[in-house]
Amino acid sequence: MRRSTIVFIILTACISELRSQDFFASDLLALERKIYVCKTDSEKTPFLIQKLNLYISRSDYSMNALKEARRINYELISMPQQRDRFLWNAALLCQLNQQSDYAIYYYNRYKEKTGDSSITTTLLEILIQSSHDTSLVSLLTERLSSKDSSFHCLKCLNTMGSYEKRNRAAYILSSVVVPGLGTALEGYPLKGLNSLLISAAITYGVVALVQSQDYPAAILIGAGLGVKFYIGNIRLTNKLFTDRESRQKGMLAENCKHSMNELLKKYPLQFK
Amino acid sequence: MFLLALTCHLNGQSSEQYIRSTLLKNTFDSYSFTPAPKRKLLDLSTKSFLSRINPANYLAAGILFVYQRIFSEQIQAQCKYVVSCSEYTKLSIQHHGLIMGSLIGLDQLSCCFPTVTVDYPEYLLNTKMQVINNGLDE
Amino acid sequence: MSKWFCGLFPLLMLFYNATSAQADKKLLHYLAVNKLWQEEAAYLHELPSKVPDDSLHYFWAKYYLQTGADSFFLSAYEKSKNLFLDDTGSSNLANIHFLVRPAGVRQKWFTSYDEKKGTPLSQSIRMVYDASERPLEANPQLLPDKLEDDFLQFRKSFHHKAWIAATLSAAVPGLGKLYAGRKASAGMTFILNSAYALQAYESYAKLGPRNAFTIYSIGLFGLFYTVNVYGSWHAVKEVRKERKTQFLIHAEEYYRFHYPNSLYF
Repeated sequence: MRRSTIVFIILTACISELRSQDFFASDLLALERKIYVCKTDSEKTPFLIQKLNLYISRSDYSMNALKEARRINYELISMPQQRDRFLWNAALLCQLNQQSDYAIYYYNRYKEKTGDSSITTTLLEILIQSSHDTSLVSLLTERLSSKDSSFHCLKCLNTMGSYEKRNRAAYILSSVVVPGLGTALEGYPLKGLNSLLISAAITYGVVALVQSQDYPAAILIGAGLGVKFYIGNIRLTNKLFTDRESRQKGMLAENCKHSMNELLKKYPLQFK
Repeated sequence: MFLLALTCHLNGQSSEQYIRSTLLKNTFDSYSFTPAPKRKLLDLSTKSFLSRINPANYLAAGILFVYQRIFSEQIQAQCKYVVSCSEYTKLSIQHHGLIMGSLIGLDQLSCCFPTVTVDYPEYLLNTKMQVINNGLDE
Repeated sequence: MSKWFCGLFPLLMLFYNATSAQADKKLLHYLAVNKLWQEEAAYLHELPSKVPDDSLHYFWAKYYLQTGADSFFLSAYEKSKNLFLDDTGSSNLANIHFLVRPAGVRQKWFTSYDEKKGTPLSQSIRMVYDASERPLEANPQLLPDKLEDDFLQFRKSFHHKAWIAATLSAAVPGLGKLYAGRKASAGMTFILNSAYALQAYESYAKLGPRNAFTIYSIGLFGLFYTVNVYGSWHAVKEVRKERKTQFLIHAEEYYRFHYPNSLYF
């Protein structure tokens, strides 16, 4: 008897897993049928909420779930608790799907309705606003730091966003004066030497052609290749400068990500 | 019951982890720096035996390699085609053989200038006003 | 007894279908309009026990047509041809849809499509397709007015011969490209070749024929001259393909805008 019970449990578990996808779609359909027969939007809302909750309970936070959330008019949710839960879930769902404009909308409505200023709520606001409003992010970071000193590390969000490597103009000017100098000073001596050699070779060629009175060839090589490589050397200096800046920013972001990860472990953001 | 509770706990944990990693990815990945991939050598491995022993193919591969690795970055050219002229030549040689491939590639090179876009219908232009030349001719 | 139950119950779960609805066209329409693909697929999966086989394939064909799964659509369409062709809205939509699909699938659809049951709209689309395949035999006046210019441009490219373009370019660099319809490229090719020719001539005159730079200059001119001839030949063929695709894209846009068909009307 005990053996057959174990077999029963294992078989049921396996088959449930196999059929879960089908059941999920069927459950969605069953709810959609109910929505379909409803006459008014307020009648539809509870079923739409159920549908969204079905997605969330299945840990499906894809665009399909977001689409369901966007079908819901939060003003038609009669129970305040349910409405607040929906607004929070919708904000988180939007942020997970990189729809930060919608996330801001839902988050602001949530904040308006609940006045919630808990740590997790502020943390979500920081994440949502990180690419929009840096001054707000720094204000929120200050606020959180006063509650828990471990939030000091979030200042990196502002440092990272506003990071700019200095003296770009100086490097570019160096390359204007001596081809390749700016590139070499940026830490790429071989590339810089390459620029210098190419420019020197073209200049030598043009001079030689002028001396042999082959003016069309001199103009063609000078105006075609010469100018292209000279401007190219300046562009290369600028590009390498930008690359370095981005690399530095990337490193700052990586450190910041690590700190944020620790904070999110301590204060997890979850669907309600 | 115990099994059910364990599954729920594991599910909850993985969902929390997913939310955390996705939020971090969405917030910080735009700052991460990924250098442009290094261009590869002309691939002759799929060509016939005669092509593989033809020194002219290796000469073309060498010229393209030196151009892409050394000269291309020195020019910092902004090609009007989605697939740059040198890359297109390389792909054309791989696809059509040395002579035809070189002619097709050089033809694109000789037409690579800012106003060339007026020659192409709008469905072949992307948002950066570059000509979409991804598909090689059959 | 309990052993039998333990073995059979999970198997029963595997084959159990939660609902047993009749095919409800209005519900299908609602699901399609709201783009609820998961739900629509779930609904169609629940149908087999209740609806005849060909109508099930017909519903699946509509589903695949909406989701853009062409090969699945064609297979489902083959199994429910009569039913699908009776539905003018769907067949018109399929006609419009396949105008801009890859050449192989497009051809497969239009050859399998039964014209006899066609509406004036489907006949018009068919005419556009035939014109795109055989432009020289088509009558432009039978096509919709707004597509006439596009078609004439496309047909003009068919009158152009690749060998004439190559010969023109051999005579005057860039002229072949102008003939093919690539005006900007023609100008640039002419300037480039003239500059290389001038450089080669000057080098020859000033440095002599045995000078390395002269050999390089002549070689470079020869290379770009050959490229110009080949480029013109190639341009004629390319322009034909481009204008055909452009014509079909405009046709698809035209029909979608002027005849907004819904699948479930």
